[in-house]
Amino acid sequence: MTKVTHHFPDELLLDYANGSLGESWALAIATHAEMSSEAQRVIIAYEALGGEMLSRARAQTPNDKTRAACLAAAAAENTIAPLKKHADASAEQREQDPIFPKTLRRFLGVDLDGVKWRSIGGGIKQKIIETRDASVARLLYIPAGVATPWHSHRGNEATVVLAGGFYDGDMSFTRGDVEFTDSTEPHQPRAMEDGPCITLAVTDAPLRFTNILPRLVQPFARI
Amino acid sequence: MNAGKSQKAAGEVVDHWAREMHAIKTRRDQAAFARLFDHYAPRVKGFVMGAGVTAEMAEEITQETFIAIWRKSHLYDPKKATVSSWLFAISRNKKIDLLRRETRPTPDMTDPAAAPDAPPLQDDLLDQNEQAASLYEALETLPEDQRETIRLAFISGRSHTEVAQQLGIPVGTAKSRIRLGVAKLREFLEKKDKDIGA
Repeated sequence: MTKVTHHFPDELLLDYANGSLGESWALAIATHAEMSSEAQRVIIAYEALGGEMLSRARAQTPNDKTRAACLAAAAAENTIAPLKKHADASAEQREQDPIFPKTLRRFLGVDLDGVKWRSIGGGIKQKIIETRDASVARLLYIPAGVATPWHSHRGNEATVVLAGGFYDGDMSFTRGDVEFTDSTEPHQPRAMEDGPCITLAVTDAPLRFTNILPRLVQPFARI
Repeated sequence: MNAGKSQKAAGEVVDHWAREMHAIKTRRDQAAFARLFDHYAPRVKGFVMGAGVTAEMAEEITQETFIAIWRKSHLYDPKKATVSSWLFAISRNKKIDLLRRETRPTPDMTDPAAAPDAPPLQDDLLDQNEQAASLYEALETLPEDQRETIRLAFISGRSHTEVAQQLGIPVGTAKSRIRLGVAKLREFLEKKDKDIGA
């Protein structure tokens, strides 16, 4: 597996670990982390730090009712949950050969082959993912060698590569990589030639297209 | 915990709770669960209240957290998380569920049945309890502005943007404090790994 070389900035991983990120961004980071052992490592370290702080928190004794409810739940559910056999699980996974990491598959309810795409022009397709925060999460399908329209941002944008790869300027991004931008500089990602590029893209605010055509489509495409 | 204790002693104290978790996981030991509750539930409630959650809501989050601990104890892997970091993660997720009515997209890093797409973590390099304790020690050695920005992010449960507002500093300053502080923590962990791997 190619090593993931482009990551989220530290302050966003920290926001993820402390639970302050909205659903769209949390989905992008969880998806990236499932493909990047480096990101997993950082999140585990943050959670360990959070645990240390929790251990040192000023104690507030819970109500007797809360304690009783927890112990009653334990007494009522006193069987050992059957452990799934690891070998079986990985065999199942190999058989299905999923493209999307587990969190994203669970969130969507489908893998790549079940996505209901909508064409947004130039061979590019998208699928808006329903999330309950103000940001927009979408899947994008860009045919091999195709460039997205030039666009700039008013807020942050993250693009996590799920399949294939793309170039942006002199940088290249492949499976597991994330391109994170918080600048207003226009850019134009272009899919690599060897196959379609499929990404999970999250934006804080609507994108600004510098061409007239995508701007007309924009209100309907929710870009 | 006694601040004067050596790191090894601190590790042993934490190991005690990993053993209690093991008893809960393998024997459904209700007495061990009661002891875990009595030690950690006040800390979970206190930590959640420290982030500005009402006492009533904190009570509910604490209850949901401990019921989840009991129900999901088979997923606990001491090689991947300390008991306190597991409690931190579960209580954070319960807080999001209850306060925002959002689900928490969480990678299954602690699920032994999940075969992650990424190469497996080299979790044998450093004992998790020792790592957590030394990470906290490393945090303590950071310059005050970096340390307090990172600490506030955890204590308040707020984003770096909100932390910046709370501290009355520009967002860019909060970002660079976090990046500088985290870079030092990372350097510290890499050095530890190298020492252990050598």
